[in-house]
Amino acid sequence: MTTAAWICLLSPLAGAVAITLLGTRIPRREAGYLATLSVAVSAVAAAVAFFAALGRGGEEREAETTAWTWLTAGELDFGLTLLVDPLSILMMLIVAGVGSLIVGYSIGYMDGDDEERRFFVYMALFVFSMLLLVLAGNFLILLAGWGLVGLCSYLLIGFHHERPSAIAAAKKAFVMNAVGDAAMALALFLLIYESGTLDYLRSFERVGELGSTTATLVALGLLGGAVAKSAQIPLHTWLPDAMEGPTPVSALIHAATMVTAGVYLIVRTHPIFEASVGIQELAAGLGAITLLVAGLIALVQTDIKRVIAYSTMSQIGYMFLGAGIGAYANGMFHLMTHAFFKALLFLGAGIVIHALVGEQDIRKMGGLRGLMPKTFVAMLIGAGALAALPPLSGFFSKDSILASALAREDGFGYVLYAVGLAGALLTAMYTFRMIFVVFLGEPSAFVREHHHAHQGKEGPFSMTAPVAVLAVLAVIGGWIQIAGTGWHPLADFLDPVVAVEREHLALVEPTVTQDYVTAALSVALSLAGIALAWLIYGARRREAPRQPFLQRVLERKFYCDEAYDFAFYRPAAATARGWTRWIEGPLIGGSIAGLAGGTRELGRGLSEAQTGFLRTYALAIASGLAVLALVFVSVRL
Amino acid sequence: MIAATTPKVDWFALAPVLALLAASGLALLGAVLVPRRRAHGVGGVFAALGFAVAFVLSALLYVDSGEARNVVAEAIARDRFAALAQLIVCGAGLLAVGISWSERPRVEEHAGEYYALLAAAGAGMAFLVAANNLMVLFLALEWFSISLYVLSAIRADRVESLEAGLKYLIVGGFGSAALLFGSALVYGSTGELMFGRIAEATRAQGLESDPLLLAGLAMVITGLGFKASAAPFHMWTPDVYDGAPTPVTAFMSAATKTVALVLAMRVLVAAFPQLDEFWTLAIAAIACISLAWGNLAALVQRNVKRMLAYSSISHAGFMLIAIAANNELGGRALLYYLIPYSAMSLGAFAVLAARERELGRAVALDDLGGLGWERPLLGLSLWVFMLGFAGLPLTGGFWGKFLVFSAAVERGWTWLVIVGVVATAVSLYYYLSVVRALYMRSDLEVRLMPAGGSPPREGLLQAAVAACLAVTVGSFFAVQPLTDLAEAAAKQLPF
Repeated sequence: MTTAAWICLLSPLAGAVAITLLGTRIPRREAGYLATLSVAVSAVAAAVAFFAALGRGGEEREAETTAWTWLTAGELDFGLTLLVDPLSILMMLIVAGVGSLIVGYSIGYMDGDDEERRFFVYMALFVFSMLLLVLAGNFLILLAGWGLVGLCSYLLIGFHHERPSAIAAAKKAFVMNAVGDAAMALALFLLIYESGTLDYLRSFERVGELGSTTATLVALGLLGGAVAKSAQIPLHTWLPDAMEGPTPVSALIHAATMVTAGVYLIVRTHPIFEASVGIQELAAGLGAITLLVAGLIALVQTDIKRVIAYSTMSQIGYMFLGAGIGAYANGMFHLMTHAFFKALLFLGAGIVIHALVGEQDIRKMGGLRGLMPKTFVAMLIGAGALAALPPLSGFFSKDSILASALAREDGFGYVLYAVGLAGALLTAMYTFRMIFVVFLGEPSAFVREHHHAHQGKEGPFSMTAPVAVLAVLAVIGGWIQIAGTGWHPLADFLDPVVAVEREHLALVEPTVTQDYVTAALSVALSLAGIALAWLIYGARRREAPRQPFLQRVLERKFYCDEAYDFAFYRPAAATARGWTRWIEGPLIGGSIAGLAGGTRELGRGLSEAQTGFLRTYALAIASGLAVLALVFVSVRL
Repeated sequence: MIAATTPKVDWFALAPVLALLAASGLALLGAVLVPRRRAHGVGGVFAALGFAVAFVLSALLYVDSGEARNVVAEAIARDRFAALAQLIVCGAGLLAVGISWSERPRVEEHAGEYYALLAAAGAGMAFLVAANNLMVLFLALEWFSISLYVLSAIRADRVESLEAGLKYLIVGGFGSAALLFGSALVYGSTGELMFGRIAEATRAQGLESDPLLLAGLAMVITGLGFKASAAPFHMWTPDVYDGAPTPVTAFMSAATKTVALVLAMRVLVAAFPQLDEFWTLAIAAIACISLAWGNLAALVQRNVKRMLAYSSISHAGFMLIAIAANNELGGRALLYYLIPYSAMSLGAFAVLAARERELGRAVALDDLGGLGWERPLLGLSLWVFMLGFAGLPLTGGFWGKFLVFSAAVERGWTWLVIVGVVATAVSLYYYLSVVRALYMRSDLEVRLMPAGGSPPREGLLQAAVAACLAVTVGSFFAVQPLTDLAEAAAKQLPF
């Protein structure tokens, strides 16, 4: 099991290194094959680890493996330690499995692009970083993985470095994530300081000894990291801009894996969150707000990828909601199904964008159903799963989260429940608005002019095959756990990791009635949302309601960017300019320049002592010796 | 007739030295017996084999020397401290052969002798680190020094090379004389040559304030400081490093420094524990002078080889801090520091050797312009070596400085740490100016002057540079295993 985990982790790294070193010695296409192969090996290794774990009893499914201890400082051991347990195995399967499909898809998508090799190196490096993040056995490795995925995300968002907007988006993502990283690092420092260990298992054992203030601060810091990485309010504005990256990047990093790392973090460190319930409920609250706000904004977006991006934010909001109320298994379940159907949607959108020579504006699209029937079916499946229609995967996972919220049976739970249901309505509306606008109706002028088929097909095999696989997964992925029937193997599998240890916090299992009520309500709302979308965008029987003010607010994304610009960027920039002008220049600049000049003068003087004559050298040695001997002897005398 | 009994010889303890001596002999035989055009290959192979075998033997010796003891009439110390230093020397030697291989067209005339001398120098160094009395110390020191004098001057067609050899010889004579005279004074005062016995005699006879012994100590410090190129005994260093063939410089900068510092620690700790208040302060003072002088003078160098020579002086200063700390942590720090330092130093000079061959002249800072883009492996490596010298993370140089400073803090000498940190700050300027030259020059500024045609593929040199790179970066990640090795070695010194 541990060997498989190491192979799983290191294979993409080996792929990235190999492509880098081989450089132009292999054709571009082969770089793609190599990257796909390395990630596929990872996926196989993850599957092996999974079956090995299944073959063991519940307690033995947890294994720590240390390659070597990097540094021992006092009582702290900094080891390259992996923790293989059901949670990390599930993440390995998702990351490597979906990752291999998406990297394979990129072979077709990036074909002919400049710098393909660089792209595949970054992709393989990303998969490695993400696996490092989920396999980490201590907080140091977690932080390393956390930073590395941020770096890969930055590199891939800015992959088209000739586009200023891509560079700006990359920087924005990096800076916003840096805020989260800093919060998380501070939390970890505090945790290490207080508990004296970096290991997950050891520090979780000592959580009880932490003071309540410490626990709250640590949990808050971790939440900050999670919120930034997962693009939740208030650190959410980078994700829509991140769509500047190539579509496979959006699918892999900004939908299926990296952005869900925040959910993983909360689930992984749940003992800490449980030690400070307020922060955990804050996570649920933030998730609820995000799912509503993102759903609203998605209604008015016109860029196909941005619509999906906002839906990602909104779906992660559901996961946060689930993790925040202690329904960890349900949150992870939704993480998994979301990886399937969201990757499917992105890759389907990628095929559409590819066929329309890079156009992403849905207003210019239309009537693609006749031209791309298979893509339409795939997108329809993805949209259905996203809108949580039975029997597609999203239905099972989303409803189980909502039912858990209902089962709390307190005011907070009811609020979350209501918000979640409202979100379901919005989800169905914006998703099917996109589907109807893009695929139904008559082909638009733009489509007639620009659509080109790929050798009579909708795309090369490398692109269509992953989409087909993901479509199947998006259909059946939810069947591994059906609420209200007693069929819950996923929750059983995760149970050793996510079991809530404190009695009073134990999650109340939803009753069968609650499950069924939730399912009925959410399906009804989803259907209502689809019907609305149909009336307005499909059949065009109704005009979209005109609310200039509301529309402007939504289009401006609730003015978050403007507010941050006003609140943080401008004061900081003004301060910096002031300091440059009044302090840096006259005070520091002058003195540093003087210091540097003086130092150089000293150096020049010293090297003039280097005359090149042996007598000088001998004199230096002799006088050094004389001083030494004289001082030694005279001190003693 | 005097009845002479030979002492019992522990051949295994001498095995690395003997392997290198054998390699040297075989290479020399090859120079005589093999036709000249083949001499280079034969000599190189023998030297490489010698270093490789000696490396393995040192490793075995390290494993086997869990208990330190003195062998061969107590003249040789068989312990992990020596074995680890021998490992570093042999590794450096092996890499130096790789770097030298491409010098083929230049040292054709003396190829056999070249490799024979390289192996002989290695043997002397391996012998030196195991020395346990003043006699063996001096013998081994001269053994490798004389090899190096000749190696520095081996490019007899170049006046700089001859000048370097001659200067090294004469000033080296001065240093050796100081060491020998010091040894004589110590012997005169204590009546002992063995390190451990000198300490015993000092204690037993109450010689702590004997002027003879103190003067002797000062002279021993001078002699060893000379070999380690610590200021103010360092002035030969820039001239010799600059003039000697670059592969020789690479070997000298890594191996000579290693053995001189390791031995200095052994002598001072084992033979003069009673005088520690003298020598720790003296070493600390020398360390400060080296740091200041090396770094300041390096700032204004345009010739990269000279710059690196001054940088090596400043690194001697860092490592002397570890010796001045006079504690076990210091021993660990010194042995660990030497591993990435040797790799970085060899690697950096190897890159310069390649560039020199390309341009056909000494490399100034401006000549590095664009190297990073033209020769990606060499450029990247040099970049990493410079960051490593400056002690930035992701290279072993970071932990080296960290451990050295920890040792000084444990000793209670925070002021020494402050000096070290300021020196590091100054050093960033010239290390980063190399990086700037490598990567950040606009195309217009880059004036490429290839000496004719594209450079030959230097497979072995690139392999050596890649190995140095691997050690430099690897020692950052494998810091715990390496410091464990160093700790086991340092424990065997009587701190």
